[in-house]
Amino acid sequence: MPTSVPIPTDVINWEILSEIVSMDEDNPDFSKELIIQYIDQAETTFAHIEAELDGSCDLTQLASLGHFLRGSSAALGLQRIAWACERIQNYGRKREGVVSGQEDDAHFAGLIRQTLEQARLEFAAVRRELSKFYHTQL
Amino acid sequence: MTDKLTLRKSKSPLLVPRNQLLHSSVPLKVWVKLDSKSVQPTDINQPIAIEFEESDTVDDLKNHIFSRLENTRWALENDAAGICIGFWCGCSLNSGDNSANVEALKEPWQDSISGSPKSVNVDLCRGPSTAWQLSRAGSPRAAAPLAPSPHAPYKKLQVPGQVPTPLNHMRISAKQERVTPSPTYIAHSRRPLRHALMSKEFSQTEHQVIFEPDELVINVCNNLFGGVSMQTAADALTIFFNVKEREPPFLENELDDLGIVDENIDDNESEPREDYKLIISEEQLRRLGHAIDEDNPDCHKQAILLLPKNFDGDFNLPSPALSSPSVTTSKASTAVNSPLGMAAPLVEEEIGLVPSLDPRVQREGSPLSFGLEAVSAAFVTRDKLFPRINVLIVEDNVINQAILGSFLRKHKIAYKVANNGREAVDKWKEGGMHLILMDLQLPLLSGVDAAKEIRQLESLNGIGKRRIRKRQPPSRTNSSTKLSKRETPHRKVVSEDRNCDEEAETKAILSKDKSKVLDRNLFKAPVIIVALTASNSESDKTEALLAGCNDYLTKPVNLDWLSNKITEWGCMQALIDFDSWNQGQRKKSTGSLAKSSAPSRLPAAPSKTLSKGADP
Repeated sequence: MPTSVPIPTDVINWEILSEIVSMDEDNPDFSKELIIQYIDQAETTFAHIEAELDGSCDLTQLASLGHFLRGSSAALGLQRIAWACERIQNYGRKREGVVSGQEDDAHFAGLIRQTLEQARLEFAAVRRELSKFYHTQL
Repeated sequence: MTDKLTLRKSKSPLLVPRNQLLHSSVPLKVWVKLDSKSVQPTDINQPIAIEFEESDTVDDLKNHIFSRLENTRWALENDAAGICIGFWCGCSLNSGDNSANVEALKEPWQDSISGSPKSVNVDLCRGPSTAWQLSRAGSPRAAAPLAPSPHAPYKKLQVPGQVPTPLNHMRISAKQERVTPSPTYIAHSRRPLRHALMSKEFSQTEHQVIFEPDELVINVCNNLFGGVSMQTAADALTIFFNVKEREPPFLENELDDLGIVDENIDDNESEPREDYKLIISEEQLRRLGHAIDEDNPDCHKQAILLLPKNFDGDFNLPSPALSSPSVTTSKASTAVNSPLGMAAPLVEEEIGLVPSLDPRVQREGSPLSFGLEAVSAAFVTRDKLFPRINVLIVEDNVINQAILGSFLRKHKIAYKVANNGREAVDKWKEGGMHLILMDLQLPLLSGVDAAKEIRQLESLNGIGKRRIRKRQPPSRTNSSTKLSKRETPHRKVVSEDRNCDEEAETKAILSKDKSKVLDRNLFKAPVIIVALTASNSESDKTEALLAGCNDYLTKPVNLDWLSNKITEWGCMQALIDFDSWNQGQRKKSTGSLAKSSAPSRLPAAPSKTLSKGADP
């Protein structure tokens, strides 16, 4: 069962990110530093997910990693990454990707691996767009 | 006319049987449609049936129309003050045979109307339901005798000729040769430049007939259609709105000719929101006519209300005012203006006064010995005022911590951060927290479990329990709840008998485990827990609320909503913390008082007897 939640069209939900950017008034570079922190966090989390997939492949752990990155992605308005992370979280909980009900963990791990690749693509797109926005190579 | 002196609306044998109005079970309805001359040709303009109540006036009907047409573009572009309800009267189309109908409409007032068009003497001393006013709008001819015929619009809508609408059957018995102005309607002509003053010519004009705003809808229906249920969709009343093509309302010389100053004219057709002028003498009228003609010929907004020179009716005019017209005009027009001057910006004093009417402010205000002025002053502040509260952010993701923290810093709200549920409970135990923003999915101890633990500790220590006797020594630990058995909810009001056993039990638990003892000076009330749920799913929300959270926000947290929650719940807590205010420990937070919302989901009623204590 593929997910019924469609992926958002825009890489970045500027309505949300603008709120963060507006905090720069009080705290210059606040949003930019936050984005840099996020990029670091996302790369780390992707690496953790990949390590988990290659290692013990604990679905619960994968789900919570997905949940973790989803929270910050959504908070920054990076909605397509957040979408992918939500998929990873739900596959890890076996709430999505169920076809017959007989699937083993490897089935969900496979789905997570696919989604991880997509998340990385979205991440690259976000970096490009934000680099443009901040006029810096992020 | 004499034959009609005896006719009264209420007594009319023809009207009464048709009054099916007083069946409260049958909803009263009236058909209305937008003025077809004003709507865009592309717009759909169907008659709609609007329900109303027996006591509704035409103004109420307008409001019903707007609530019915809510979200339509028309409703967005117009407002209830900018529309009029009436119908198009095409007297010319049926000059002869409808005079009976005209009479029928006028019959309740006939006795007071003089036959002469030059000196129309309208009796204004009736109640609002019958004192329909004759008025004219944009045209001098309107001063000429009108033949406002309800028959005409149906001619227009239907086949010309004698169409048996209910109106035709209404009061056919009434006969009249001469057409006289009726006080029943405000009539507007659409052909402003004609100089025809005689009734015959005027009667060839199609003109608007507009009902007084305070006329009862039910009377309109009864008079026009012979009963509420007799109206058909084709007879729909017209909603006039936004009529722009108007000429200067009066020309001086014509007014002289007509001598209409004794009439009561209410011209508020096109933009009733705009300024009104109250004219109570011929001289003023003339002056105004000059002003309009010379200075501002395109002035569509001028609305004029004319009162008879010796008017002594039940308008809210101070009667001595009438003796010195020039002075009263300005006063009276101010009086008329102010309630209607919606566009006028509110002055700060007004803004400040509104919240002071809040009973809560008044109640809380007096013991604190700050006057209402202080509250008002606090409200004038344009910046959003947040209550002075301590917030605990429970979030495992540093990004989200940073966002929430930055937001709170920006609003000068003190906060601490916990990375997981365990830390959350520990930091809460330190005391002084008013509000916890709790992520639900946390490592070590989930937000749900942390919330449960906090609630258990609170009930174990009797925080937020209503104590019957103040400062009674044992009441400090008057809860009997064991951690394992959560049996508190049914014991919100503690009976003293049960207290003894339970207090002993609780004491035993607390003495065994000192870590569960909370300093009551630091815990005045149950902390407010707002769950931050990652998904929008109902199950997450339900779980959070069951665990003892008071509220939830869906992530990503919208900062506007967050600030609303902080205001709401923070003010709740500020109110709970009333005692410390009373002792002058938190003098600065008064502004938050009035903004607080009523408690809705507070798990246990806050107690005023809760002990004092400063915040850490």
